[in-house]
Amino acid sequence: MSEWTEIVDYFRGRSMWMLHYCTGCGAIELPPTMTSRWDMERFGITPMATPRQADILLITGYLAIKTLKRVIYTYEQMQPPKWVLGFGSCTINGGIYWDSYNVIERLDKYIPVDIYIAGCMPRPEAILDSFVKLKEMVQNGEAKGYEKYVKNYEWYKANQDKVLKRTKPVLERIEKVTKIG
Amino acid sequence: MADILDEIRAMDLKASWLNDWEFEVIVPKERIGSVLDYLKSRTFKGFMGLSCVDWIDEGKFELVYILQSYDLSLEAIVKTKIPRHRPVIESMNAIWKLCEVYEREMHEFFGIEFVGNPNLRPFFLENWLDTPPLRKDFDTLAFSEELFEFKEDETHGINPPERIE
Ligand code: SF4
Repeated sequence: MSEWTEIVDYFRGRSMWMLHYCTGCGAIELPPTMTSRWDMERFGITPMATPRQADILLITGYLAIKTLKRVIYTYEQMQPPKWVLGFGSCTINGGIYWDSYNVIERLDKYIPVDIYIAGCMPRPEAILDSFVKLKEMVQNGEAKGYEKYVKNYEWYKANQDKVLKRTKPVLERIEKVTKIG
Repeated sequence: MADILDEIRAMDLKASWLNDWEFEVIVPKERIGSVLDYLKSRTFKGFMGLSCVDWIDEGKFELVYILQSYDLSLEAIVKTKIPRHRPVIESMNAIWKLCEVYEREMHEFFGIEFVGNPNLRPFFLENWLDTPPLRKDFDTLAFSEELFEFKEDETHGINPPERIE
């Protein structure tokens, strides 16, 4: 690693803008994290309104097939370097929606996740912990999820297409119960 | 207040109080339109919602229309059963335009055909090709295992403690 990238990584870790994708119930832990009680701006992290200007994508919980599509759009719009935080057990293994017909398991099959925060829902302390950890990883040049995405794009794309671009029913046993005639 | 129930019973329908502000009416499928129309004319102007119950053992879907009367401060719950296999019922969008949205949802999640509803396009689900998911014979776990590759013993290489004290 050259000195230049070391310096760049050092500064990158100190000012990260975060886009939070709040479809999960855990999003309710973000207002206290952002505001005076826990105040994440201490770590140089501040909410950002658009994906193109954001560095961190925080996914707060379950993703339905519909929202997964939007998350992928959002992620691909972000400029590298970019990092993804998976927040809550729903992003890890589906959480309480493990047998749902509409909620994905494991987020990192579709986009690379740098850090998972376990819990249902994680406390603001856990979120701050993950920010500090992410900052360390960025400054040490370890958080390279976005490079992984580019290198393994076929694999990610195949997983995404499996869910989003279905052309035939998933289960074999389909009854023609609904249509008349 | 009590006479509204007597009037309904006089129409040869089963009706009963659930508590002091709400009552239910059981209606055969053919009369649902006229009964809802009647209730609307008797101040039950607010259409609160339409839901569906899957009575799989009976082979029936039960449609539940919830109406409200602001003048009488009462809620009416109108229930009707239709066969589960190839379910068809007439659309109520002529009585309440709002019904169209609820019927669209019931169409998507239970596969009920609403005759006269022009707008039964897909609603919440993305690219759905299977059996409508809220029917009780739809195996959500098998679906999740197949599509999202859910594995019960997935631990990501981390072994949690046996029990968290
Ligand atoms: S992990 Fe828990 S809190 Fe978070 S989205 Fe899932 S169910 Fe909600």
